[in-house]
Amino acid sequence: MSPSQEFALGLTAAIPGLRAFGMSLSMKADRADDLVQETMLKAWKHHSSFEPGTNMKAWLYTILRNEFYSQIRKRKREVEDAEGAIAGRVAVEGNQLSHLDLSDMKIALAQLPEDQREAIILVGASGFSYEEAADICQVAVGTIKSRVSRARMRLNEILGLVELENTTQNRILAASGTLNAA
Amino acid sequence: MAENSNSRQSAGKGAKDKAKTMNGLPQPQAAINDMLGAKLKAYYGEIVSEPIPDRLMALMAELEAQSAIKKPPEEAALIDDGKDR
Repeated sequence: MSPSQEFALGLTAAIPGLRAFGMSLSMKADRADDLVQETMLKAWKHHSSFEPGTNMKAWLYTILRNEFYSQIRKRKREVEDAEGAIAGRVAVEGNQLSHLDLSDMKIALAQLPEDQREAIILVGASGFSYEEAADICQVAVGTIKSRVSRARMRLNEILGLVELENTTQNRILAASGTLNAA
Repeated sequence: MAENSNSRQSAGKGAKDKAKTMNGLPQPQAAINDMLGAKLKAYYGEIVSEPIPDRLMALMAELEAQSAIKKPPEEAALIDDGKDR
């Protein structure tokens, strides 16, 4: 098998996971597929910069993530440039989620800040290590760990896996006397 | 496990005294996180197991065909180079 055939095979194999990551970042199916498409084009174009034998999955996820944030910045600029009425409509459209066909988890994930959402998805669902997730998000490992932990706490609350008064944060506050002192 | 009762007993004393599991978390918290982990993987797995949309399969075929005749994909020229962070 030629190196480029091998690359094509790796890219094809990564598509389902890239779609799931794109969906988790954008929370929209059509945008997720756009992100995957851009990722495939970029990966193909820059495939000489990929070192065979290194983590292709992490390399592809990094490209997709960069594409997502670069699109967000572009959109933001477009919205800021537009007139108020149009800008308002675009913003609402962007935030709107059809709550009818969404799973509880999707609704819960949508409530997390983006940095926490990507961290918990990479570590908790995509099977990356903290170190790999840190590389993909270009932050320190400790930052990823704290984002994952905050995301878990928040999701547990939203999904009702813990009683609100029994959250880790509140237990720690209670233990340190902060709550009782109030 | 025995740690379970220890964990409850010390719950009011402070985080330091709590019994730890292998994950370094108090027992109930670890169980909750396991439950969350399973739910996350189920959510993600559902998307992963969806069939790849036709347009992405078509793009893949196009990329492979273009590389076979040593021509860079035309679409690639229209997008930026990924350095825009």
